[in-house]
Amino acid sequence: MTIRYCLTCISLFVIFSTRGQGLADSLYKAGRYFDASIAYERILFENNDPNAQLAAIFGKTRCLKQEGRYDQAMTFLENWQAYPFPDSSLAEIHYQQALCTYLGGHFENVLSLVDRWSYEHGGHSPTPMLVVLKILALNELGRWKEAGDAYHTFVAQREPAKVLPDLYLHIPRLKSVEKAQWLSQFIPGAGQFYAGRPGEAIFSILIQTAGIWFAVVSFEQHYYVSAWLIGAALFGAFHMGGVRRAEVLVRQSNRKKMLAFNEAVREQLVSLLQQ
Amino acid sequence: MKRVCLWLLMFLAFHGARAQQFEFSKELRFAQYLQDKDAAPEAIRVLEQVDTLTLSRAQKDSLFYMLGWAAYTIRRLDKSIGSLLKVSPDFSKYDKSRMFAAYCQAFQGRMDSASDGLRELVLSDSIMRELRSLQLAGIALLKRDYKAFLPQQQQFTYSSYIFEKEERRMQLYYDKLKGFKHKSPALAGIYSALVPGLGKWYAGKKKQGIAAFLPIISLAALTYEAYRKDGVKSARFIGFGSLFTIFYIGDIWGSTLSVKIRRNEFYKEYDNKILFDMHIPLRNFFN
Repeated sequence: MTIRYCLTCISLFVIFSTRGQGLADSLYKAGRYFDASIAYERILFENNDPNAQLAAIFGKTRCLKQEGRYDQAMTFLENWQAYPFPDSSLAEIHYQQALCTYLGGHFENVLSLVDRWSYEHGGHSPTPMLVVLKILALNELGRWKEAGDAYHTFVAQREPAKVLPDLYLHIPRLKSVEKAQWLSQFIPGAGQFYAGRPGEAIFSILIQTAGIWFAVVSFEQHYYVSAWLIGAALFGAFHMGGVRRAEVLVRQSNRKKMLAFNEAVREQLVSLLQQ
Repeated sequence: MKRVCLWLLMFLAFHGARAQQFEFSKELRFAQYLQDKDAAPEAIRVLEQVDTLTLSRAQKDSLFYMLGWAAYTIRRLDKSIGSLLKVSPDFSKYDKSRMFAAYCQAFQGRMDSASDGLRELVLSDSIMRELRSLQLAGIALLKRDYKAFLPQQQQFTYSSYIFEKEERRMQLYYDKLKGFKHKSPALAGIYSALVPGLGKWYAGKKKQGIAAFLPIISLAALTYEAYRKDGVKSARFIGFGSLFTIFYIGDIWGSTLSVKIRRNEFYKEYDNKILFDMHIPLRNFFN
């Protein structure tokens, strides 16, 4: 009689505790991420079972990531770091937090989270995925030397026998914004050439030359006002604009190079992890 | 047999009501939990899904109040007003609901509804009455109804630390708004006709005035040069002359408009200050 009573209680508890999980999962599968995140939060509100709580934490994190709410996911996971879950679960929460921090573009915070790993998880070294995040975050911050060191250590640990192409032999050479400005200041269009945009450089040269030409011709024909107010003004306006444009183009070019390099590093490291 | 059925029915009805009450209070606690976690949109979704048909009056009041408050925290003012105004006078936070609904209405520019709502309140507490006067004074200033401001201002005692500073500032806003001199758009146009950009300077937009003066004077110089060297019928004179005319007339028209723009900017600045000083005492008093 007692056994039957206990079994009934256990089965009722299991049904009750998994009902919310099932609903949340089905909402997630249906792509209703906002409603699913509420359903997962409800599990956390109602349930004290650590397994159910962990499933809900990761479920809600998935929803927030799907909605692109990385900052909320970051804060949400931070709040669960202090709970007495098993260390493997806390490690997963820690990794998810670092991932959301990276996706949210807070690269300095990613490094801090990676540094916290060893003393929060019993002196263990960070998981491979976390190391990858660290390398990518260092790349994003332009700290190539540290990124390269971390990359070489990681590759050596994962594939000591295999020879992979060393991506850090070709670190993107970023162009100097000051140099572009300086070039455009003294040679019209040179800054744009330096930024790798010859079309814009030629346009800039042509328009500034036209301004000077108009000023000279007008001056020769004794149209002094026109020479100053049209020729010189045209040249001056496009000259100053050219300097600013060169700066913007160099920044765009640098960003593009960094993204391409990061993409290559990411692809190589992820393929290494999947092997 | 009949008696047993009756008892069973009563038992089920009693427990059904208890279960429903339990479910509702659980939903309310869950919504509050979400609200405490800065998840107001989620709290709103939870509260909106509650079936109001089965709720008692007191439960509905709690629901509408919480819904209104959650919507207010994320500035969904229409929803907030709609929910806060549904709260019944029996509810403990009725005065707070009405005051905040009125503030949200004032924020949306619905001044008459806001002041009507505040006047309908029956307030026994003298500080609450003074707070209402402060709100009504603010609304009067937002409406530029200076006559309506004075009776409310007479209720100010400047004795409550919660809104003493705001009361003094309302008085200051009254003086500033009342003393604001309305400049003439026609005069601004005439000034700009005489000296390009001077109308904008007169309207209070000095930098715009200088920015208008320089190109017009440059075009005038180019037109004059073309006239002197090539004559009236030259393409150069006609081209620069046309450009000068367009810029010159445009500046006169712009100067007349700039008077209105400056006036609106002035009012907008004070509206923001007034709304801010209406809001802070509400938050301090009710929190």
